[in-house]
Amino acid sequence: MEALKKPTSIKIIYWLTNITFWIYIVFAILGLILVGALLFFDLDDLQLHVGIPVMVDVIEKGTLDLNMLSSLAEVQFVEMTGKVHFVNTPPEVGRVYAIFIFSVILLFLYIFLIFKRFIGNVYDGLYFDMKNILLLKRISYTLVIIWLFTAFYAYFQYFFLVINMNFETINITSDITTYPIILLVALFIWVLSHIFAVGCKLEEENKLIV
Amino acid sequence: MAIIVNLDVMLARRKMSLTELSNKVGITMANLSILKKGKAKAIRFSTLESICETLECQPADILEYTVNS
Repeated sequence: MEALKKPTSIKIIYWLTNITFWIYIVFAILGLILVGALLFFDLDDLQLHVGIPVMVDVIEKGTLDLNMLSSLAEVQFVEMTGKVHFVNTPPEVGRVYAIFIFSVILLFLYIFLIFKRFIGNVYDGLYFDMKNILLLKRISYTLVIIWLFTAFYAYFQYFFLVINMNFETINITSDITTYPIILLVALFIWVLSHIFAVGCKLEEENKLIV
Repeated sequence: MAIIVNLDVMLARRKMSLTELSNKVGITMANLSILKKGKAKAIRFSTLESICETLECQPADILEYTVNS
C-alpha cells in the first residue's frame, strides 16, 4: 500500500508544538526559580503581580457624545473589573502563591507532554490508534483537574484575600472567575476520544476485510 | 465461527502453496493468511472470484456454513 503523504497542517502543528514545548520549558525553569525564591527567602519588599480579579462598584456620571445622531446621552459608570497586585508581599502569602505556581507548572508540563506525544503519533501516521485515544482521554481528565484547580484558586483568593481588602475610596464587590470554557474543552476532547475509538474499531475491521 | 474457510483444503487438493496462490491472485500473503486462519470479517466478491478462478472451484468449495454449538 502506498504511504499517505503527511498533511501540511499536521506538519505545522507538530513543529509548533515542539517549539512551544521548549519555550514553555524555558519559562517553567524561570517559574521554578521564582518558586524557589518565594519558598526559601523572605522577600518582604517583593511586588508580586498576581493580578487578583476584583469587581469594584464605582458610581461616576459622564456623557456619551453620539455624533451621528447629534445628541448627547448621559451615562453612569456602575461597576468595573480590575486586578489587584501586592505592593509588598508577606512571605506566608508568597509561599502559598509559590505552591500554586508550582502546581500550575507541573499540570501544564504534564498536559504539554501528553499533547506532544499525541501529535508525535499523528505525525508518524498513527491516527486511529488505541494509544492516541488513551492520550486524548488523559488530556480531557487533566483539563478537568486544571479546572478544579482554577476554581479552588479563585475561591481561595476571594475568601482569604479579596474580602479582607480595604480601600479608601472604592468598595470591592466580588469577582470569582472559574473559566468554565476549560470544562467545555475537556468535554469536547473526551467526546473526540470516543469518536476516535469508533474510528479505531472501523480501521481494525477494515484490515480484516480480504 | 459459523463460516469455515476451507482454503487450505483446496490448496492441498490443487497441490498449490499459499505463496503461489498469492502471486497468481494478486492478494498479499498477510491477507491470504487472515482468510486461511478464519480471522477475516468479510471477503470481497472480487477476491472470491479471483481465488475460485485460480483454484478452478466454486465458492462453496472454499466457504462452508456450520451451526455453532
